[in-house]
Amino acid sequence: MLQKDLRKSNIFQITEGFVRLFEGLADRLHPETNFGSFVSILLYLILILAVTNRTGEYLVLSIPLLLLIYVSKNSIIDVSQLHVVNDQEIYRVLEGDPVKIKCLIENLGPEIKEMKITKHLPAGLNKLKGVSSLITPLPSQDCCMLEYELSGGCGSYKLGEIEIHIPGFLGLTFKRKTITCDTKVLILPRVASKKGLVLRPHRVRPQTGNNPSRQGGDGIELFGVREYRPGDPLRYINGRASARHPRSLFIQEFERERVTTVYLLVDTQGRTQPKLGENDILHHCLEATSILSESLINSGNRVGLYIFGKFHNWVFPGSGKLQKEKILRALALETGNVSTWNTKLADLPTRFLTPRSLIILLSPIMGTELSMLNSLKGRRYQVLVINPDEIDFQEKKHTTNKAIQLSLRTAHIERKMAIRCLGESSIPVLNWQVDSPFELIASRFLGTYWK
Amino acid sequence: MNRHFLLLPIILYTMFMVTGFLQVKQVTPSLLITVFAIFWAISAARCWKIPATLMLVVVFLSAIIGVQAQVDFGWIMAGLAAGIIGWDLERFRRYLSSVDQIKSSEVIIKRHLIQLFGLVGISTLISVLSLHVTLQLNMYLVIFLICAFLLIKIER
Repeated sequence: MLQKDLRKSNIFQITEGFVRLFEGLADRLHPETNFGSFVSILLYLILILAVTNRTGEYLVLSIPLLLLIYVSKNSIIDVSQLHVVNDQEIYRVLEGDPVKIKCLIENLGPEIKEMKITKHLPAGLNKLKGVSSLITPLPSQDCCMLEYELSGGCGSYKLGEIEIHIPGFLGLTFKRKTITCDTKVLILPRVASKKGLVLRPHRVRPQTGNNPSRQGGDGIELFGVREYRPGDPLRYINGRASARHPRSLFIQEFERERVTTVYLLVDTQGRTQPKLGENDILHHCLEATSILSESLINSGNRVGLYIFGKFHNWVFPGSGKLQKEKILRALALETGNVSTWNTKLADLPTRFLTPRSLIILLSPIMGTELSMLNSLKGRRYQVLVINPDEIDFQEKKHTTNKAIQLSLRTAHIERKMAIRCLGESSIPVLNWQVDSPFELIASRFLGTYWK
Repeated sequence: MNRHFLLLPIILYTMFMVTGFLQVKQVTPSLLITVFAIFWAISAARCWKIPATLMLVVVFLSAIIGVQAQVDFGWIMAGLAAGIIGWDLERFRRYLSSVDQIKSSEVIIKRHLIQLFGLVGISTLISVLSLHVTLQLNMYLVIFLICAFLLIKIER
């Protein structure tokens, strides 16, 4: 029984192999492109056979092919007056939401009795539902519509081309027109948190915010008690302290809360393409950046962004909703921003940075930018490194292979050494295991470290 | 388009060709044609992506072998017509199944079938005429016809 089953499965596998071979051939000999020329070749072969054998019957065999080619060659119409219009120029959605696309095809020329419209989807986007290819007749001055929904990872995608085939007689020959669309799909990272983050910056801006400024003034948190000066509000007089000193008055002072300028530096070194997903550490890194920017802007801070590495981008510091949108768009890693060379942290234009501002570096790679971080620290910038643990992340994926495990252990040691070096330069490092929620860890770390 | 409808021209092609070959006692070609037809029918029923060009080649190859084996030309023409219809319908089914939606599909299918049967009908008629009608042309008429053909071509 077992042997019979084995034989059956072998035969099944062989048949499957043959079918796959033929399918591969079919893809190469695509009917829509090669039929006309193929039928012509067949016709010529039959004619040559007829001439060499001097047999009339062969000539008769060629009649259907001759008719087929003649009629199909003379039945193609002009397609130059077809126009494609999308309902939006840029489709902007958050990650996980579907992109609803409507595409209108207008015929300003003569009536088309049959046409095939195919919309080629860009790599990285999947069709959820709807119609992205259509066969339809299209009367003169009329239009038809493609309506479909896409989904994909965060990034910037160009919608690409629409291919229109107008078949001739029996579909043997086609008139083809490719219309290029400049329409973009922007899938921005979804920010889970809307809470504000509290920092302890060295230097603050004059505007009121949420960050304690280490200076006495108006605020909520008690900063200290000092002697009363004329002009101080009487309601803040500290009764107990004043009672101890009969000839003088003391008032309570609160800590001023102000905004600050934060620069988020994102490292995309070693990346070649913006295809992101849950299995990519860069995805987590960008997610963390979006959470940080959202939270910091919600707290009223001015936030700037510098993406370096393969994807180069720079957003000047700012605040408000527009700034959030700018940062999210930059984090979508537009393919237009791919550098021909890998930019490094050393290329950071430090002249543009606000003096003594807070710099947060988000990088999965450790140890490569140590000198630049030290240099920034030396110029009295506040530097903080957030390091998603890529080695731990990779370890969870490759648990079986011994060689990989060994190399991961080595990488672990290297990483620990790099963190120790940063610690010696008094640069705080947040070691983030990407499984744990970033928002929680970041709020704890940023809230406590600076005290 | 119904998948079983595609099997009809394949069966007709096999029937005509095998009958023709068996009439002249050619067993091997008829067996080969039967095997090919079974393969073709299975691929049509299971929607395998076998190139349609392969089917057309085999159809014409069997017709050429038939002429060489001096099979009755009526059977060959009938088999060829059925083969062309089968090949075209298979191709048309693939064309229709390559899109998400077909608007006014009935009109499109009807027009295609009219074109197909028109082509097969006209070509069969011309073939029958060419086999049974003999024209005797003198050289002046031949030159005139060639010139007229060239003039039409140049005008286009």
